Amino acid sequence: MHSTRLTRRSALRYGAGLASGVLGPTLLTGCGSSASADAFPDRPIQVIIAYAAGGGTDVGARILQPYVEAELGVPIEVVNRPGGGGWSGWNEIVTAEPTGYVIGFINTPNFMTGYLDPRLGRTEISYENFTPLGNQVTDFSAVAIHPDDDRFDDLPGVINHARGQALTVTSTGVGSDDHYASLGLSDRYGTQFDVLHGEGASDGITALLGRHVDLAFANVGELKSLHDDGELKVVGVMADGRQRSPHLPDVPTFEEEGFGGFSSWSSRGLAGPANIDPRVVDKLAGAIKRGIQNREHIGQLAEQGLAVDYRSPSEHKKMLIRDERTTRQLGTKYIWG
Amino acid sequence: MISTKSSISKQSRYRNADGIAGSAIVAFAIIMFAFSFEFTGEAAIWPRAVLVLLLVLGIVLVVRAGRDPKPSQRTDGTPQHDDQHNIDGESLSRTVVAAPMAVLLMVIGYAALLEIIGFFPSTVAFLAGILWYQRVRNIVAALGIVLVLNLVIYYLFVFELNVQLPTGILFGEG
Amino acid sequence: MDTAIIGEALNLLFTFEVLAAIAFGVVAGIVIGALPGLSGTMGIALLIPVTFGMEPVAGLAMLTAIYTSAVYGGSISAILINTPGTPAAAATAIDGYQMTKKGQGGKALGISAIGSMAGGLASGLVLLFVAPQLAKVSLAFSAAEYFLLAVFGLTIISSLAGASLLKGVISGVIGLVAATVGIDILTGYPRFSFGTTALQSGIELVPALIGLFSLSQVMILAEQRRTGTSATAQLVRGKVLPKLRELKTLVPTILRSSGIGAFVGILPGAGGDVGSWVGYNEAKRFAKDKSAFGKGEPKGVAAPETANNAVTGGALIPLLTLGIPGSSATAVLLGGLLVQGMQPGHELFTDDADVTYAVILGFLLANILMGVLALAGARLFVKVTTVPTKYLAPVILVLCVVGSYAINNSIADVWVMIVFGLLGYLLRKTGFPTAPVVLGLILGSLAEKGLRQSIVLAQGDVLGYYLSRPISLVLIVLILLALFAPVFRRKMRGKVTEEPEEQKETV
Repeated sequence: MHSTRLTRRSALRYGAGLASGVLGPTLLTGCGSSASADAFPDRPIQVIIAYAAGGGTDVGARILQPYVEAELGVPIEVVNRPGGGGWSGWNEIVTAEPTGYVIGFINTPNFMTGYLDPRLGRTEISYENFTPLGNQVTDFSAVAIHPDDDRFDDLPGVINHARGQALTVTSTGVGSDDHYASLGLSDRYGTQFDVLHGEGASDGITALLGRHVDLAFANVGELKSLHDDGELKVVGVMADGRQRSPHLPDVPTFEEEGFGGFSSWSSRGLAGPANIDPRVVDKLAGAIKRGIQNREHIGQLAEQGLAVDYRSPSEHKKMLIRDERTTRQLGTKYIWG
Repeated sequence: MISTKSSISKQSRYRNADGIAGSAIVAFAIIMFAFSFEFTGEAAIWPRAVLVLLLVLGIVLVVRAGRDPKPSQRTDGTPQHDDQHNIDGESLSRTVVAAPMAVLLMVIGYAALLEIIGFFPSTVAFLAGILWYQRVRNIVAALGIVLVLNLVIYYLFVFELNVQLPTGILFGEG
Repeated sequence: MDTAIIGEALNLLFTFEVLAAIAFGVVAGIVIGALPGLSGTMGIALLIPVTFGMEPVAGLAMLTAIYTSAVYGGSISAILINTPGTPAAAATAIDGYQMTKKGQGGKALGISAIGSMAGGLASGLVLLFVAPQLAKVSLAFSAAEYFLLAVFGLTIISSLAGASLLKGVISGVIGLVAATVGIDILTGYPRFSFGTTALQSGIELVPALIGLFSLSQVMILAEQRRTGTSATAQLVRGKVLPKLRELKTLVPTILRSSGIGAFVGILPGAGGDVGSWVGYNEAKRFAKDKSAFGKGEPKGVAAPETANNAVTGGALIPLLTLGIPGSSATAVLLGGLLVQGMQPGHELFTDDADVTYAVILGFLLANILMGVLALAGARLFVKVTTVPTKYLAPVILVLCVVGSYAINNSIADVWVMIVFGLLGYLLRKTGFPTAPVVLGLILGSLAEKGLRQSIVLAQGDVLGYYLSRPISLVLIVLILLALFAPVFRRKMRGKVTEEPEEQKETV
């Protein structure tokens, strides 16, 4: 109940300020002066979601919202800015005043594709235009087959088959994690894939269920319930090392099956624009950390098959650097090079 | 239903309008086709096919308007007195177009002001402007519309639906 | 499905919270749908946060009630002021507005309410009884079938073309061109985005629709400023409840559209907008007197309105059984399910069966309530049109702007709306119909994606791939029939018109 009320109340408060024409806060804002850093936060914080309301990132953000609100003591307004492959929202984070009052979720590696692909005209941007504030979720890529497929029924079988004859595989779009997963696999293990790009995970999963494609590349969270129901069979998870996904305990990782050295995931974490006052970053990062690590939050995300993977701002940054390196390498070689 | 006299004058206007519309379509298709030259690989195929189709159809329209004594009409005898087209197909003379274009300009100004001065001030300004233009001289009714509409939008969008409307420099907080 | 579960479901359904949530959902849905620019999809998306704190049955029943009622609500403004409140109501505007102009606005609303209720109920029953089996049919559809389905949809243009087939086709192709704007999903190349981020995701359908229909309509109304007459002033309030005799003639149309709608709904991606056009087209095709369509034919209101509500239940089938949304609104509903911690799949029909069946029964209840409220409240809605244009126009314009903005919180969408408003005005002033533009915009990207994906899937032999798939073959035959039917008809009519007996047939 409380999340509903907080959302409503925050909207009301913000709106009431507008209607009665309160001018005060405008005059106080500037570029992260020390006084405002001490007072932070003294007004609502906007969290920008680069995807539509009701989508995966949005749902995750709204689940997290009350826990971080409780930590910060000010309302959080979730603002959806879908469009431009996410860049309608991410642009807004980049260009926001670095006060800490405008932050948002960034989703890798789709986010990297948006500025690394020179055709999209954002090459002046990099992860350095953002201040990482902590990672919320990491959802590993996985490969699924149709349970009735008699050509293969495990990962080595799939890879051996794909070395001799091209298999059709799904992807959630050019430069998505699923696309990089199949590109990376072919790059390393010499498999041949004809990639079928769709507009969302459900496109690809439908194609596999209807046996129109040979393999589905998707994320654990998207495959879990169908795997549990036996509608499709996940043959491998592209996790780091041998640690299996708690949501798919019966599925081996790629490394377990002898195809190590390559992992793929989509992650989402919070970030603000560059050059936020370090003291403001500390306050935000602390609240975000406690919010993400809250047991109730972890439990609610687990119900959706999503693994909470908290990473501190410095680890989050390392993750972004690593993601950018893989994305640049595969993208330059296969997509826009 | 349509008297012969008016239908003839309408026909010639139609034909003229068809020629202009067709030329505009041809020009549009050519310009867009030029933009498609920078597309890489197979991304260009479908748009070009569609644009070529549009180009051909545009040319057919121009040729027909220039040659046909009758306006473009379905050969199966479907009567042209399709009410929507009857209204919509009228001429684009300056006197007819003046008021719609004034409305459009006001909407453009409204959209431009949205992000500068914020949603509610620009809505008040726009409503004041358009009500005056529509010759509403009843101050009470005008004030009522301005007040009720702003309240409804505030309640529905901001309060209930949680939409963040543009705040602009006057009330912006960030 | 056994009776014990239904019993449990009924217990969950008949609580105050759930019933209040359904009632609220129905009223909110009708209002949201009726306001130009507010679509059910947007209403559901924005109300999902409200359901966070509610019980699963109450929250989900409210969202599905909004979904189906908004589809009906869209017909109100389509019928009364020729501005479809939702994309799915665009087909309704054709005959609905003509009925209003004839002083039968009340009757059109009544027919729309009855059709919507019938379509919604039929699809709810389909959802309840045949969900798992029907979901399998949709899985047999792949890229090739989607391409053909989109082409099939595009042939509808010829029937919507009105006075000039050529102009109708040009309008459709303009829509196809608009559909190519944005990032190409198969190569990632941003087409016709002119360096803007906003256009990289393509042209948003709802702002484009608001512009094409609502803004251009207000611009046309503004022409009367000089003469002082207004279209709405001529309105006569008609009876809302159609006569039993009239209703009887609509029964075949309503039944046909219920089936079409439910089937289209099950197909992933084809939402109420496609369903209503197909329903309209088929009603026209089956009608004895085709020329009545476009001039206020009651069947032209019943067909799309029944079909687009029948889509709602159909679209819920793949959503609930496989987690695959059948329309944009159900894609958002998926978010509502996940918020409640309910994973679509067999679990919904086993572990969570009580909740699922309660939601489905709640959906049926919502449709009945919608029909009752719509019939009882229709008189109130008719009053909307008696407001003089000079007061109505400013209100519509503000709603156009705020509605376009609110979908994505994007000022760029407001500019899209304005550009399409001007386009719509110019097209209408030069005798081009605007509906095919919308159709081209919806189906264009579906057709391109389907064609190119099918080429990837064919792995070489494209023609063989198409001809080896049974559903694809059926669709090819349907397309050929649709394409050549007008030619045959024309030949037939050519013979008939030799003897001027034709007019006597229409009594």
